[in-house]
Amino acid sequence: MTGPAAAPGLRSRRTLAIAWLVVAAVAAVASVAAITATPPPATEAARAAELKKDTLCPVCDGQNVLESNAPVAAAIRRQIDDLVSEDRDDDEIRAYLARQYGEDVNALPPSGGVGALVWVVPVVGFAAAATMVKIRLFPRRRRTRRAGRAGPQPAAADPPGAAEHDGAPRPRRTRAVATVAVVAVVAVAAGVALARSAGLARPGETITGEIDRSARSLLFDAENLLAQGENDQARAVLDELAGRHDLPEALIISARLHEREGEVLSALTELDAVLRDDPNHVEALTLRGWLLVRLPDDELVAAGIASLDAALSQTPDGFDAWVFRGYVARVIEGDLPRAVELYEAALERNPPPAMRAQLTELVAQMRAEGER
Amino acid sequence: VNFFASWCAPCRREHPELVEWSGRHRYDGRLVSVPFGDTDEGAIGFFDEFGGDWPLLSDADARWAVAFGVLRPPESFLVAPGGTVVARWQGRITADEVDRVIAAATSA
Repeated sequence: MTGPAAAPGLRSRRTLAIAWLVVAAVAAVASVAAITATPPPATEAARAAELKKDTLCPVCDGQNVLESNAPVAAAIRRQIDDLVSEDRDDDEIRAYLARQYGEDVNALPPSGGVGALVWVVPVVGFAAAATMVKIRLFPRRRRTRRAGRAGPQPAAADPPGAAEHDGAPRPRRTRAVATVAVVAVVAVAAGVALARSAGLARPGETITGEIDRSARSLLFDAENLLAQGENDQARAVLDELAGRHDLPEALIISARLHEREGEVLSALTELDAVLRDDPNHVEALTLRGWLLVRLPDDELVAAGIASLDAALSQTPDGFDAWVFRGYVARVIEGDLPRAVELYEAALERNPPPAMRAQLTELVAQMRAEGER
Repeated sequence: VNFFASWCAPCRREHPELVEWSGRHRYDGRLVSVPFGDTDEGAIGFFDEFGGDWPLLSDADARWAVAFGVLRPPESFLVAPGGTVVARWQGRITADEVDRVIAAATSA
C-alpha cells in the first residue's frame, strides 16, 4: 500500500513554481554578479587610479582624491602611486591611509562591523523575499500532507482560499505577516544603525569634521539663498560667518554676490584673497577671469584670459570655465575653431538645459560660418 | 615639524613666530620645516624672503605629509625626543602657544 500522493494538477503547479523560483534566483544572482563584478586592474597605473577613485579627499566636499585639486589630495595621490609601485596590496594601502586620515577617507563601505550591513542586507532581503514567494506559492503543500495523513483528502480539491472561509485559524497568513514585520524591522534597524555608524554628511560638510559644522551649514544656506536670488539674505548669512571662519567658499559666494550687485572691484578683492591662499583655486580663477575679460581695458582683459587659462589648465569638471573661455575665443579673439572646441568641452560637462540649447546653437552657427 | 607652503597666506603670517621660537630654543629644541603642496624652489624662495635658519626638508613624494596626516598648511606637530607626537596644531601657531604646550607636557 502506497501513501497518499498529491494530485497531478497540484504536482505540475508545484514543478512550475519551482522552475520559476530557480529562474528568478538565477536571474537575481546573475544580475548582482554582473553589476558588482569588475575586472581586476590590468596595470599598476590602473590599480592606482582605482585606489584614488575609492579614496575621498579629507578636506573636500565629497570629492575623491582623483578629482580633487586640493594639495592634500595631490599628496595622497603621490603616496598611492609610491605604495602601488612598492607592490603594497590594496587593503594595506587603504588601511595606511585610513590610519593617517581616518576611516572616512575610504569611499567603500567596510566589509566588517556595522558597515557590513551594506553587503549583508541585500542578501538577507533576497532570502526573505524568496521565503515569502515560497510561502505564497506553496500554500497547499503542508495541508495536503496533513490531509493525506488523515485519510482520503477532499481538501486537496478545495478551491484556493477555502481554508479562509471555514472559520479555522489562519497560521499561514499570520506567519506571512510576521515574516514581513520581522524583515521590515530588521531593514529599518539596519538602516538606522548604518546611518549612525557612517554619519550623515550634509552637502558642504567635510568628512573629517575638522571644520565647524555650523559654519558649513551656514555656507550651504548662503549658497542656496544665492541660487534663489535672495541676495540680502545670502549677505546676512555671510555676515554671520564673517570673522569666525576664513573659508574660501564664503569668499567665493561673497564675490558672486558682489558681481550680481555690479561691485566688480569688491568681487575681485574677495577672489584675490582666495587666490593668495590657494593660487590654483579653480572657481576663484574662473570667476576672476570672467569678471576681468568684460572690463574695458586691454591689460585687464589679458589678465582675465590668463586667469581662465589657469583654471582650464586643471581640466575642471564644471562647465563654467569652458563656457567663459569659449566666449573669449568667440567674441574677443574671433577664434571660432577654438570657441567650438571649448563650447563642446562645456557641453560634455552637463550644463543646464537652457545653456545646453544655447551652446549647441552657437556651435552649429560657428561651424556653418567656418564652412562658408 | 612645521608644514607650510609659499602660496599660503597664514604661513607667511605664522613664519615670524617660528623665527621667534627657533631663536628661543636654539639649544633645547629643533625646528624642521616641510613644504606641503609646494615646489622646493617655492619653499627655498619663501625662506629667502622671510628668513629662518633651521632645516628645510624636501618632501616631493609627500611621504612625510601623508605620514603626519597633514590636511592643509600651515600645520605643525610637536614631537617629543623619543619620537612621540605630543601636539598637533592646524592653522597658525605662535611661539608662546608652543611653549605653553611644552611646559604643560614636561610638568605632567
